[in-house]
Amino acid sequence: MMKKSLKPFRDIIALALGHLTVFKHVFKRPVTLEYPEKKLPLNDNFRGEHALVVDNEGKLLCTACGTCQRVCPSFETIEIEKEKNESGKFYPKNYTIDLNKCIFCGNCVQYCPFGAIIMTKEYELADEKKSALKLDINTLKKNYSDSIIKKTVKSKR
Amino acid sequence: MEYLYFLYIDFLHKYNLPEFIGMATFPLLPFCMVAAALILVVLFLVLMERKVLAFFTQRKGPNRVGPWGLFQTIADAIKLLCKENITPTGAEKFMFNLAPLLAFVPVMVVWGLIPFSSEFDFMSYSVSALLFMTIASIPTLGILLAGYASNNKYSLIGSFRSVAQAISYELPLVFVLVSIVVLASSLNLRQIVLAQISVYPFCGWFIFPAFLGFLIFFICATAELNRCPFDLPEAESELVSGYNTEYSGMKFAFFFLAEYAMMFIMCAFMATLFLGGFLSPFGFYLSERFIHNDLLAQVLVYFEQVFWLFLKTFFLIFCMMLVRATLPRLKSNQLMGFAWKVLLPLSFLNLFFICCYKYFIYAK
Amino acid sequence: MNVIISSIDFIYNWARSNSVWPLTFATSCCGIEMMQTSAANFDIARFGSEVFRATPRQADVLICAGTITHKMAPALLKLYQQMPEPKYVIAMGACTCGGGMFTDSYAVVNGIDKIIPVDIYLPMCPPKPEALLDSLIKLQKKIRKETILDRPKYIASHVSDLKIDEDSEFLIKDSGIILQQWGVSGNLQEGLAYEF
Ligand code: SF4
Ligand code: SF4
Ligand code: SF4
Repeated sequence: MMKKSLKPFRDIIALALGHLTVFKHVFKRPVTLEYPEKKLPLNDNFRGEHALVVDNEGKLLCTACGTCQRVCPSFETIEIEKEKNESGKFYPKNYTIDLNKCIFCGNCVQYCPFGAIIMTKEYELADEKKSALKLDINTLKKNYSDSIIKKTVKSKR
Repeated sequence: MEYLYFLYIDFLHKYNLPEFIGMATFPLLPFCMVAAALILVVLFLVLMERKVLAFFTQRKGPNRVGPWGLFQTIADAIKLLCKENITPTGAEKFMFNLAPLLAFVPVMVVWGLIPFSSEFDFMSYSVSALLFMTIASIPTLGILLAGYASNNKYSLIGSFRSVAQAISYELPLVFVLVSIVVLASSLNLRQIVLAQISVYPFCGWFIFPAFLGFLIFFICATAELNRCPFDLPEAESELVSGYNTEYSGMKFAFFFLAEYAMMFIMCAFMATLFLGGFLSPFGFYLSERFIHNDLLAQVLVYFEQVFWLFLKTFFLIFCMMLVRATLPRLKSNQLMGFAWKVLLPLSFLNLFFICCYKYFIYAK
Repeated sequence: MNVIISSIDFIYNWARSNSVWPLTFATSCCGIEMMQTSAANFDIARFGSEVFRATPRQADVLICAGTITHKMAPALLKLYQQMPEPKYVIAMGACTCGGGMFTDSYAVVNGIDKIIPVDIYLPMCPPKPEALLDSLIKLQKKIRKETILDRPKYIASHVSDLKIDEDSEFLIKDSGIILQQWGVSGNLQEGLAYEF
């Protein structure tokens, strides 16, 4: 009986405490990051845009073996056109990754037997044209040379 | 008032304009001033709401458009002007376009009823408090019309809710108003303010005898304005956007403007009734005390009074924003139950208490 | 004349680019990331875009956050058509750009650009909140490049030749239903106009 009659008062106290808790936040510093100027530090294992590794002589490490194609969970994301060079080794004549389908799982990087593909930390990929999201071999090479300056995800071979 | 009139005529004489122009334009002048002031205040208010809500959640709020995002609302207003104005095919065209005006114009009228300072109340009637309550309930009709005319089930339900809410919360509101009228023995808003003058600074404010009334009034005003936690007419999770679901561009801007303007006016009304309106909280006016030029001080006092009224109003608005940031939305049945079962009896209690107070203490 | 138009353009674009009100349209997991964008850490409010409108009548940009299934496609088109001009679309997430990991699914539309025109494509699954902010900034840049003279042309480009069939509630082409199109996975007969 006593408890029930006290209920409105307890409610009012709870309401007042609630408002006080919210009010306290006015005096705290905002936690907002001014995004385009400042960015959050990325994790070491962050998976961003892809890049094909180029060795010192300017050649691709990729041998067009097609493992990445097979392990990719997404449908027809990687397309490889393979060709033989003079010494009888395969190399990718064309290598496209369709970012419209890729889900950035990192399987291709994980399973590549030659460590030929890596993921950079680039994530600002928005574009006005859909075709720009289809990364061809030149873009992927350029991504690698860009990413040498930044820290990238190493393949875990 | 006459003093200002002569100032105005003098000003016209300087530019060799005849007096009848002054006579003709002087009554219009305050309205133009007041309308402009209201729109400026509302533009600022929308930004303030966004900023304050951001601070409550430790965000930064709009800060890219101009310094501290000051021009954010202006950008919004221009954008809404540029947007396409859609009138749905199934809508009642005339009523659909009339509704935003019906919601907006009464707001402009009640704004003139607030006594801004001891001289600046150009619509001072002996029943202005009653008039305020009467005209302030017209925007609800606009909302009802909007809901009916837009041929959309969500709009209709939203406007029904809005009307039901307005009717049930108007009752406690008016009973609290009655208690204030009993205290001040006048229905004139200026007299109500002047009745709050006392020997000690701010002790005569009606919030002290009628604190319960103040709380009830605050809650009911929040409900009248359809603000959180009573924003059932616009409940986004159930009714898409309530009564303004079908409105776009400028028509929506009118609703938006009316809502925020009404919020400011309601808070100014509350400040007038409970917090001494334009009276200074120190018991004396700063400009009177510190400026020794008599004429200048006399003019500055008016502006200082406006300043005090606005300060109190913004304090109340801040409280409303705090409530909005804290409380979740009520259920529909809780809303009605709260009005009829809790607030109405409490407002009777308040009236009874105030009458006793007036009879036994205040009168002596 | 040029001076007048360019100054009008400046105000027109300044106002529109700084108050891009999004439509609340989160259809799956990318929506979580969109919510995070409006929360304290990334605060979309800084760009004047925290006004998530529930009704398409008051929105400027449709941030399509999440998978669009064939069932959802008519709703998406309807919402888009209900938005007043000028309107924009951000396709957020791989699913809306080109099908993402559901490309070979029988139930998912491979890219919303088959239904409505898209202004900004934002891949990744899901994009970081920063990436969404970045796409918003890119959209603002795009808006600033426009001129008021192009408006009729721009509006004309938004007229879709798809419409919603009242009986089957599927999307059809104006010329009539294209029936018996084979789905991508090759095992489903669909009456869809946008599956080629
Ligand atoms: S990237 Fe690696 S896995 Fe893919 S084709 Fe080249 S070598 Fe093979
Ligand atoms: S990251 Fe995953 S989805 Fe993208 S290409 Fe590599 S394996 Fe395919
Ligand atoms: S892109 Fe990925 S995260 Fe976004 S909706 Fe599709 S599956 Fe979900």
